[in-house]
Amino acid sequence: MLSKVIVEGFKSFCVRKEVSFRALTILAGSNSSGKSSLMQPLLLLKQTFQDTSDPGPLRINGPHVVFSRAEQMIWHAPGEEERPSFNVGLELSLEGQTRGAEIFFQRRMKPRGLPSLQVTKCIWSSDPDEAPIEVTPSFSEDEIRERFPNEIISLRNILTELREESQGSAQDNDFPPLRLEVTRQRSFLIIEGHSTLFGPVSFSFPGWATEMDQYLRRMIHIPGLRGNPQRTYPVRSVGEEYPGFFHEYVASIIAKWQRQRGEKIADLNRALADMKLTWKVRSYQRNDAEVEIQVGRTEQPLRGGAKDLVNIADVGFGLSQSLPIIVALLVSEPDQLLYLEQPEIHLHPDAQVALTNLIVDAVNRGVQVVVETHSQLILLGIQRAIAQQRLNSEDVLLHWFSRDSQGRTQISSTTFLKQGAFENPDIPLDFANVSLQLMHEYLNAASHIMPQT
Amino acid sequence: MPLHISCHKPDMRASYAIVIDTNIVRGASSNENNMFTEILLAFRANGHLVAMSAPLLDEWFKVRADSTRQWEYYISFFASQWLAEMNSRQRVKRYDLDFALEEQVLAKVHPARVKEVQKDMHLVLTALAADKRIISDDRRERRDLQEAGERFPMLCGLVWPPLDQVCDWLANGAQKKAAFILC
Repeated sequence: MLSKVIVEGFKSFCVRKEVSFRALTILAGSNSSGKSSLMQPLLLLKQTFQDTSDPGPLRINGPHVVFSRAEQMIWHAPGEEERPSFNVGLELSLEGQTRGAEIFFQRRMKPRGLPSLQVTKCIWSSDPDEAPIEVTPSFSEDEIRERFPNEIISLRNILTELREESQGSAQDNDFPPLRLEVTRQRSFLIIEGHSTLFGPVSFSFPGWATEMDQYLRRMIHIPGLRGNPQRTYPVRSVGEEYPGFFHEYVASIIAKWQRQRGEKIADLNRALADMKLTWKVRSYQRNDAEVEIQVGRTEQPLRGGAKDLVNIADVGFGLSQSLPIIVALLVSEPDQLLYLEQPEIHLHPDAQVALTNLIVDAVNRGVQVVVETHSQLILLGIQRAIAQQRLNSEDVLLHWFSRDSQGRTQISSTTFLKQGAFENPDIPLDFANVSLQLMHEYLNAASHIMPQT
Repeated sequence: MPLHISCHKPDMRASYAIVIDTNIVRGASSNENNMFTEILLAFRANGHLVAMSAPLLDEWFKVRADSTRQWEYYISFFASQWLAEMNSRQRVKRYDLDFALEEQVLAKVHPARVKEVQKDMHLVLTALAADKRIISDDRRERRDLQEAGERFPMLCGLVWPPLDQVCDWLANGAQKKAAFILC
């Protein structure tokens, strides 16, 4: 589970922020206050790891985040000296152990065909009682041996065991040569060890770099802009990872669920009905390359209307834009991170409340959900679920974003009490202010033009 | 977003748990009289706590006989949203009522008025359990309790300001002003 994101010098995060995450984390606040910017480092890493070719330390222009120049990512303010660097990090709780990585990026001033960023340092951390491992690209082999004696001993022990397994313990005790170097593994700097036993053997540490890489690849991101609905979608292979845009996989995921004839397709239809969007959805493979999404034309099935289906491009945005969210909530696995940007877009209030229930169900299945929202109804729906004991209050965290006069992101946070109230009652969340003030002003204005009875 | 109403002074002094009568939360949507919405906004802006008891909450959420099906409860949509926000901010304090007091109070009420007063006894009992402050539009009930208070001094400590002065009273800390004390 993602337990922390670290940002410093990235976009509106001028000073270092360490932001905690729980099973359900709600990001709310005014526009352009930094909600998306907090998640963008993870998305940058995801699109970097999922690139089929090596894009350098960071793929800055990809399906999840789009920058055209490195300086667009770096905090700057009028009158302040331009910064050359930023750092981002994440902390995961994996099988009860805490694993962290913080990456320091520096802008190259004259790229001339080189990637615009370079990694200057990686700090790898594990449980609090162990000192963090700091890796820089300039480490010589001697420095590596000096700085990581315990890791080298572990590598030697592994090599010895392998050699004993292959040659028997009575063989020559000379230790096989071990060559060490710092390697960039996409955005990470790791130590690689190479040796020769019965052939070339490579090792790397820290071992959890690979786990982090896999974790970020598996993350599902549903952006606020989900593209216009298409008449057909390309046939996609469906697994645990969804490189590129998730909404392009939706038709193939539904097709897979149809083939399996399991509960998922029933769950999907039930969710769509609860949200009053349609009574049925199905995938129809047009040819070997294209699959079409068809949906019931009405909210409830009509008598004799089993085939009363239309292409998803022919129905309202409420359905086409929320289908990727619903499918993502159902397809995501325990411990998978699902990041939903503005899930309420295009949805009627009723549907927003029903969607909240789906989010709660996913969290209770063990999926980690991050919701970025402006919806008072979604927040209230979550508070209701806590008060009704359908959601553990300790699983939920709310971060409220604002910007100070200099444009720096400020975050106030609260957990929830068992009755759904904010543990921090002074959190500057303003949803209710806006609606109460508006209602009061409307009633006030209307009272002046009320017909006299 | 700041509140723009004159009586919402950001004056954070001691807060009190104050009982709000159903007639206030019911009326806080009427576009004939916006005083009730102003009172609720002033209440929220000045840091006071809602004194709540089970019978009072039941009354707020009683289904209206003349329901238009747009909003079915006694409590208005505006007040309901206000209450949810107050609850979110831990500003609703629940009290268990001492029903033994009910008989004692009713014994002191004029026999012709017992039935009427009994109807609103939960209001009085909640106020007695909380900080002895009531906001209500029921002037007749106030008068009945005032009379009963002459024979049952416990009631005399209740603070019950006139409605048109509630906003300022809340903004000034909901103090025990002599003129607002029941008797």
